[in-house]
Amino acid sequence: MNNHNNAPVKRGLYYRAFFRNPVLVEAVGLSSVAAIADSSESALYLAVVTMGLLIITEALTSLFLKRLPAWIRIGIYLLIGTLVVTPFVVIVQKVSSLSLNLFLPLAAVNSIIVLHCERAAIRHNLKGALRDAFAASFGYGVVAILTGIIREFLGAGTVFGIDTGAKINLTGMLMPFGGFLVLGFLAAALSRNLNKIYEGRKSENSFDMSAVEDTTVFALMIANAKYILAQILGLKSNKRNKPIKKKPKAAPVKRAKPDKEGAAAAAGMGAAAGASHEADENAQGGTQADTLSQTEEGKGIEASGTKPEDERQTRPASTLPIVMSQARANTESNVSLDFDEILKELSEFNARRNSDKTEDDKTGGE
Amino acid sequence: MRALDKPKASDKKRETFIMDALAMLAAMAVLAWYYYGERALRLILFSALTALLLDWFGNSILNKKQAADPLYAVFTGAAIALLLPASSPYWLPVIGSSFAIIAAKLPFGSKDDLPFIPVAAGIAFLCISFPDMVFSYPAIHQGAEVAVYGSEGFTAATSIAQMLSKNNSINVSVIGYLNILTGAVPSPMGTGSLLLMAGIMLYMFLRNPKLFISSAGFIVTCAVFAVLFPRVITGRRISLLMEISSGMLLFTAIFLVPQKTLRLKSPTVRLFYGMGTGAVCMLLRYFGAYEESACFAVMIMNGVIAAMTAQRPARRKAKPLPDIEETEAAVSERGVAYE
Repeated sequence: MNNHNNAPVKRGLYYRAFFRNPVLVEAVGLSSVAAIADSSESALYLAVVTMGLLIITEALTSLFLKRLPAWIRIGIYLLIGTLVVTPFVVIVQKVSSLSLNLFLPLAAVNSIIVLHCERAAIRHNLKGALRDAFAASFGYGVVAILTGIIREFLGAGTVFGIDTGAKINLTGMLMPFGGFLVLGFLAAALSRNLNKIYEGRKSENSFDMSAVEDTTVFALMIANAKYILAQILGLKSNKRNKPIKKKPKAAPVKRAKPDKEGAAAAAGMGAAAGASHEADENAQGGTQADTLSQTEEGKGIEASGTKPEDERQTRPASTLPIVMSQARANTESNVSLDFDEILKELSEFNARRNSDKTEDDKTGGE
Repeated sequence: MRALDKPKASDKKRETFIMDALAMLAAMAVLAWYYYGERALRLILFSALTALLLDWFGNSILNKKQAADPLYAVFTGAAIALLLPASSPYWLPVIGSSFAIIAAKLPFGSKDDLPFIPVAAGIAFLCISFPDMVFSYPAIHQGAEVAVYGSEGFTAATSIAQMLSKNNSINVSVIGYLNILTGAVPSPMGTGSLLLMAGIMLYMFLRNPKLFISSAGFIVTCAVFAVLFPRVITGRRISLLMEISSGMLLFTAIFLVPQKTLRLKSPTVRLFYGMGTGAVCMLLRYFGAYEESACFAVMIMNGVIAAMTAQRPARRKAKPLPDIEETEAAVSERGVAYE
């Protein structure tokens, strides 16, 4: 869906803060912005506390938490969040007359922290983690403050407590639903402008499913489910150390090379193919596993190292590259994907494979 | 998204519904003019004009001129004004209409698929932002000009919904009943007369019988609540009369619940939608912060229905496996056959 093949985008602060804005693009931390940022001042506090929290948490994660299992790390993020936020809340309550209620302390469990720590901090060194933390919190803070300014202006006619002279008093905008409304309009405006700036590109449109047909989504869901199933079956067979049955050699069958798109699609599905390869051999599980296992570029084939090279060549060509290339072409040209046709092709492949298998068995028997 | 430039049979039906609704709103406007004078008509005019202009302007900016729907915009604006008290300042329905068009109509793009009813959104926003103005009804001085809320000449009167919220009953006499029937009770401008609302409901039912399954579900549920859990001590019959005739309940049943833009295809879904809206409406009346809750109930059920009827891939029937020889031939036609 995301077409990142066109003009290069400099992935600096601007890119990370706005093109992948945590609130407006990634849709994390929405509720805290909607609940807390009902005035410019409270939005500023939220931005500051989130920035401090994210920088400290990501730095500590990058330095010390990389080797810990994920379920422990998440608990530690919350602890760090509480440690950072608590003194800040106490200070704010003494300095400001603003009523922060329960919402600012809840920033300690903001989903943006877990997401960015798990996605960036544990995979980068300190510098990379800090860069990500700063960019994300900067983008988050800008959106929070902008939301706060808009809501305060519409709700009370003031900005940072200063009377603007506008006699506006839409108190509904100070409620959380007003926050969500403002965020919705900001997200739409950002998406529109980014698409203009980066012509031909699409931002990470979490909600833009317009180019995807239902059937495609359904097909991918099935593929994913069966891939996971194949993985589970594969893991089980590994645990039991079940030996892989070596098939008797069959006469090599030549086949035409798949087209470029098909190859690209096959490469894209490499992981799936590899992981499901063993499942296909050992567990004989599921048609999708059978189908996926035919692609040659999978990592799993290299990882297993048990498949002889010639055996792979004897296997019939997969229809999956054809299906995927067709799906891709259809999606790009906005032509609806015929799901029945995909299933038909998959069933064709299975039928063909079963017939090949029968022939192989016969040859082996002889 | 289907092409909007080709007129379809459903478009005609939809236009018919809106035209009928506009005609009925005109009848309500006449009643409002009778009780509250020219001010009522000016409020309706300003509100409808705002909605019309914003709809046209917004669709022009978004380059979606096909999605502009002047009739629906006028309906939205007029309905919002008619659901407000006649003492509202002129800017109040203007804000309501603006919110309805900007927040509930334009972002969703299409004139055929609107997950949230703009009228309900506009009124709900006004109820939250300006509850004092929305729920303060002027005393009726037949034909006399109504003073604006907050001005010196403004005299507030108690509406039936307010009486219910304080567990007070109406005057159980012929005059009391007659007032409710003729609309001589403090209420939103267009919804006071039970007789008029019943006539409008009959007309709309005869014109669009299929859509009124949801309305029937809505009214029956509200009636059941009113009878089973009366808020007044004068009896279940009075409770039923007061609940049904108060506020914007009948207006909601006639114009907001059976909207075609919600795309409720199955009669069962329509019935459950209406019943759900009625149940939420009555629960909010009993336990909510505001005396009037029909618009909130509609919004909540709009959200529920939008989530429940979100596009899902259709279930397909299992097909027998095709013949291998045929499939080989089909694959060879694609040029990726075995050699």
